[in-house]
Amino acid sequence: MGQALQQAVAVVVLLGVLFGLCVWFGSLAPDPTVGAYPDASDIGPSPAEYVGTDVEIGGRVVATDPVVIELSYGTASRRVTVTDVSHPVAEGDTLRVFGTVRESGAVRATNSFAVSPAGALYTYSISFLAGLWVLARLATQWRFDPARGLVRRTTPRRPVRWLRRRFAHEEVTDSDA
Amino acid sequence: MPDLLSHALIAYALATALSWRLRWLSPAYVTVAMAGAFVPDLVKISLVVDSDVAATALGIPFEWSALHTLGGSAVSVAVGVVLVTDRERRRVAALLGMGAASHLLADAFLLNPSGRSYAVLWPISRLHPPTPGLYLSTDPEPTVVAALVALGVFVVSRIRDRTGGQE
Repeated sequence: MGQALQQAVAVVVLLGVLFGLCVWFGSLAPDPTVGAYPDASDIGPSPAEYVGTDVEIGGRVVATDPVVIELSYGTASRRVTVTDVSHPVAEGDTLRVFGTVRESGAVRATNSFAVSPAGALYTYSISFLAGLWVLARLATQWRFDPARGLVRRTTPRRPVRWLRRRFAHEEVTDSDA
Repeated sequence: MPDLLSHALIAYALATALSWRLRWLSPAYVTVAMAGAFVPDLVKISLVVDSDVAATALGIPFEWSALHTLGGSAVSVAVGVVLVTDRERRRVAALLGMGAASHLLADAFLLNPSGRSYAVLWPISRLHPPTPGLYLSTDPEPTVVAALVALGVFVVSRIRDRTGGQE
């Protein structure tokens, strides 16, 4: 069996294992004794089952007096009132709550904090830049050989120098290509 | 720490500092550690296909969070190891693993309302260890700290290169 084929088979097997892990993890029931509290996907569809238990949920704030959050689970969502929030929250914030489900379906917060939408935007943008940075480093320092997989370049590409030469119509030498 | 830039900077600093000891650890290998720091965040695939949506579609339990654990990350790292040429596998395994481990550890310090972290060691243990709650994934402060540390390591590395790596 050629190396490329072996690699392809190994990747498929490993992806199968990853899939299996996701199924296994999904089949675990909440277990507060290890800190795995019921979350939105547990209490979303059947809040009545969780009356009196501690849950860890979060959602976008849609009203502030009283505090109401949009609890999403899968493609569905439900509005949940959160009482005993000890700090000011604004509409549009994401409120993360640890608290107890009451008879009324409301959640009495033991601890909670709010994250503004600006925070999420910051995180996504900066993460995107980090992705580009590492991708650029990979592309200049490693190359893909169809027969062997990813191979380290003996001479890393210097993108700026390479482009400059390109536009100067100079001959581009790449010992690895 | 939450955003990918912090994770990449931590892995950069760790791998570069390690390169002072290990001569073979060139910038190309530092990049491998940085890529490893992204591995647990494959879980972000859930932003595209929600776990509950996948579970409903498949008709079986399903939870992407498995990827953001020791077990899930180890298997993801193995995918990367398989993709490189056989001569590089040991080094790539070590560096991807280090990057992924630094990510899982930094995320175990994230603030959670329950005061408990996540199942970092699963499937070895399902325990969500207590978290000191040092930061939120949306805080810029961890990025600043990680950037300063990475800058320090970068400068020291440059000085060592000039002096021929003498201590």
